[in-house]
Amino acid sequence: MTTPPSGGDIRRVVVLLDASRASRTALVEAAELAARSGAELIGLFVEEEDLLRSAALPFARELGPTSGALRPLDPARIERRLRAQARELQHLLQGMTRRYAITASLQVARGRVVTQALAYISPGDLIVVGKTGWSSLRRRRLGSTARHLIGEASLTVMVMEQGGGAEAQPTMVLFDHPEAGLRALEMAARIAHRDSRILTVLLPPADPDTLDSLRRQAESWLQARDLAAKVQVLGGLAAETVAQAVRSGNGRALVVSRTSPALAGEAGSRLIEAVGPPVVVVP
Amino acid sequence: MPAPTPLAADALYRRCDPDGLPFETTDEITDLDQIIGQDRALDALHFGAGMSSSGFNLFVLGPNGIGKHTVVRRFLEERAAGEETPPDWCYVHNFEEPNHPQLLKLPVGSGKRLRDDLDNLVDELHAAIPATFESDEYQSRVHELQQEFNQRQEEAFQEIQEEAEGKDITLLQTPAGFTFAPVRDGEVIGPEDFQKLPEDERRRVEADISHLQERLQWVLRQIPKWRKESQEKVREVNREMADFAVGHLIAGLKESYPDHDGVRDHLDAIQQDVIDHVDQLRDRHQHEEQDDGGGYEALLRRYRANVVVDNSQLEGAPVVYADLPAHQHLVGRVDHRAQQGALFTDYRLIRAGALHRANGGYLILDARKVLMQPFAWEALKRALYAGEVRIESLDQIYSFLSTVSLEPGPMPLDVKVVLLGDRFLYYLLAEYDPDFRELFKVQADFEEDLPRSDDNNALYGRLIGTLVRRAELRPFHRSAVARAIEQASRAVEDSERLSLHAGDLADLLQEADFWAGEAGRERVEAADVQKAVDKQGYRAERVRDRMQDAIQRDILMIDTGGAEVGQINGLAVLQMGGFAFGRPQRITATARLGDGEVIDIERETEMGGPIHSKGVMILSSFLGARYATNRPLSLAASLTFEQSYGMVEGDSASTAELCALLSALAGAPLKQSLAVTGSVNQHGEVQAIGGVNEKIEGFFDICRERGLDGSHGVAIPQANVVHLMLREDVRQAAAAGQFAIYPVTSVDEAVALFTGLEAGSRGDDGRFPEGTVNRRVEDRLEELSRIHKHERGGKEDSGNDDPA
Repeated sequence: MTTPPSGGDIRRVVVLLDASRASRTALVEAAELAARSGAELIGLFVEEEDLLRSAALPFARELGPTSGALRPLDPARIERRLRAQARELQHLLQGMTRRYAITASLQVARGRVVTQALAYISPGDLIVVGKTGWSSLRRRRLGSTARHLIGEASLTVMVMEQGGGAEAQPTMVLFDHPEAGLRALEMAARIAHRDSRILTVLLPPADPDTLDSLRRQAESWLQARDLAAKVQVLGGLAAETVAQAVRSGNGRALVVSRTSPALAGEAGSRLIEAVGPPVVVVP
Repeated sequence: MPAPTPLAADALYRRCDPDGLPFETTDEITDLDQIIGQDRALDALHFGAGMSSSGFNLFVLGPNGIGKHTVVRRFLEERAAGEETPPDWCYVHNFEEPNHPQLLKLPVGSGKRLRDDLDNLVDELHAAIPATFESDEYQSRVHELQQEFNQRQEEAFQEIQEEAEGKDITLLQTPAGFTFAPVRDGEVIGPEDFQKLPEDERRRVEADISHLQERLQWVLRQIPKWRKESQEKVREVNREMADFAVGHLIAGLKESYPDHDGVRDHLDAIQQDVIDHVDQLRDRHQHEEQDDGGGYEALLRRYRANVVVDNSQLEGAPVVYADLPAHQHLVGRVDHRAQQGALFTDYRLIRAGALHRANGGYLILDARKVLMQPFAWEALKRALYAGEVRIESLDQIYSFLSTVSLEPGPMPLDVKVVLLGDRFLYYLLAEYDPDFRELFKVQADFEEDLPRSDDNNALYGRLIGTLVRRAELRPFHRSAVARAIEQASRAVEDSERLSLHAGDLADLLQEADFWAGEAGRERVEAADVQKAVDKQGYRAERVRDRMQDAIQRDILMIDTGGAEVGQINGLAVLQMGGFAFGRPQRITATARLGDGEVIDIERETEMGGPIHSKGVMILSSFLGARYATNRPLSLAASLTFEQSYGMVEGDSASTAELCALLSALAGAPLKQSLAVTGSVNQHGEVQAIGGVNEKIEGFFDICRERGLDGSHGVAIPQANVVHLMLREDVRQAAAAGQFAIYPVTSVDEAVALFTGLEAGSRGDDGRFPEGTVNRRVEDRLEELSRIHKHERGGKEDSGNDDPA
């Protein structure tokens, strides 16, 4: 790497955490990303007020996701468990600090996840969030937290389901607009693996002139930074088409601009649902 | 009775006339295409090899070096060449019982073919299985099933969630599960607010939540079932795809083995196994690492074949000789492979034994080696009794701890076992092993010699020619062949027979060839054979030379001149390894008054063997029978071998002992220039003994050293004259009248020869003539008897007179 991508550095990587195994995987991924981009790592653990309230209800029961067993639920136990989880996460983050030589800290807040997250995050942060929360239940629908956060215009959001791929896999970027596309490209270059930095630029279907101009723009940007990339023209911007391109290109992440037509409306949710690897939405 | 006359020089040796041999050198004669002198053994071989009933195995008896192995092998190979080549055998994995590898019988040459075909199959599976499972068809079918499952699950959740939303209830995630909670204005109601709700409302919420919980519970409980159903469907697709991937390969193979049900069944089993293990096979990377039997390679390995008996290179039936018939070499073994300190095995590590390889043909074994290898004899008998060979390690049979190992299927056995061994072993086995005669019913007994005749000489010449060519020696001139034939007679100590000991003969020929080479000759002459004989002797003669030296220096006292009473030169043979030599042995006798006993000092000191004792007892009974029929033998005689410090065995000295005793009784001196050998019977007849040539030569060597003067000679039993094959120097001395060989038939002749006196026969008066040796013996015995009687009478008188 010769020239670092200009402007808009990632200041902090904020990962929304709970006690699940999936959120720990996400934490590792986020720590690597933080180390790669020299950002600070923040674990944000929100003790949901809704949950505490519901636990206080006289008829509150907890249903085991695997066993299907019903257990009584009481606020004291929930509190205890939340504190224990916070301690565990604290410990985990300390481990990350040593392992990746980064600054990391845990923020514990109480309230609703989206509210707390939005309250905490400032521009320049990259927020990592589970596609459906970190629930172990398989649901295809995009979770409400992720949906809310993606909707916030000024945030860079990484939506992930499982851990990231191997370093040899390319980071893919949808380059469909001269300006927004450049921001996405910049982010992709930043989060791509430090050593391999393999990129695949996905171009939208368009008339030859537009396509040519987009291609030249992307290539000159890459050239200026001495980066190599594969360029691929998509058959369409429908969720399934893009997801298929990511699958067959064996991508490790997809970077897309919030303003991209691919993310417009319900189709946007469907795209994020359909793509397996993490999707990074840039402002 | 007249003293015996010396033998003529030509009676001392039977020459083989080179001119009688129908060739100049061995180059001119063709190889011997028959086995000479072994008609009986060949007949037995023919019978034994031809009998197909069980138990008619062969034991070939004969001393080492007689050529049993060569003869048997040649005979069997000739016979086997005309017989049918037995089938190939291979072991394959047994999919039903993995510890019992299956044995497949295949026509000759098909073993290798099957192995190669199965190797190819494995290679093709390597490619075909991943290709099938990477295909779009497979991927999309599995993806569909996955989607189906996800959708089912999701729909179920969605329904619950929608129902909950419709009732203002939300599904929340707890640290360890889910919970439902009532919502008002997007927020979960706290307990205080909940209490503020109207009673009906509260009850309704609780009922709704309870209902939703039940529904969610139901869904959660269905998920494993759905997953299982989905997995089962995926598995079914896997099977279908595997069947597709492997089916045509197997079908193709089966077509090329139309008549082999065993192979076809095995191929079907492979197909089924591929289908059953498709999960491991399709994802090789995932399973490659585990090599404990479940790994990818390990799975594919099971489809190969281990050809244990490959007869494809064989023409006719096999003839196998196992030179080290250890248990595992006979019945085969199962090898193990060490992997990180643990031992593993499978059907591919099964190794055939000699019995497997010889199946359908002949197995040649050395009886001694089989008996010396632990458990080999029992294993061989067991296989022959059972008619099958089972590969079992000694561990499996005898160990206290048994580990799981392979038990390969047994191979049906149709083999003729030919044991080679010396006679002693045969008779021991026949005596002590009850199984032996059941299993080895045919004995092929090898002759050790054949009669000497012109025809046989010619055959023997061809045998020599054959051995010469086989060992790539220089051609032998007929004079050398004749000399070798003479030596073959000497080897069996019989001028009328020839040794069939091919090993010794071959050694002699090789040595003669060496000396011819040393002498720079292109062909081997009689002198080279003679030199070989002499050198063989010389190399072994150190002990003999030391003894001769001791005699010359009078340390071992042997007289070769003059005459002595009660002292005679006997002749002994010493056998040292393969070398025998004769030496004179002074035998002395004393006689005095006694109770009729002849004391054998050797026996008294336990240095005399039973045969020697028997000889002495015979001569004492001869004495009594001939000289003291009417009165007690009032004699105490002692006989001994002077300066003998080891065991004395054999009765060949009994003539000498008798002569010495008679000399002592008659007071007649015996000529010390002579020596005698021969056993004697109760009638005083001299009987044949062994080692006559060595004995004569042993005495001759002493006499020659001291100077031959015509008085020297050896008396031998008449019956041994045909055995004479004496050294040339002895013959020359005999021809010059310096050394004589006297054949004797009775002890009287020997006595006459040694004393120079008439032995004497009883006249009409029943007495021996006056002055004869016998008369003097009889007189002396009478005298002793009288003295004895007198002594005894006197003693009795004095006893009676004794006032006490």
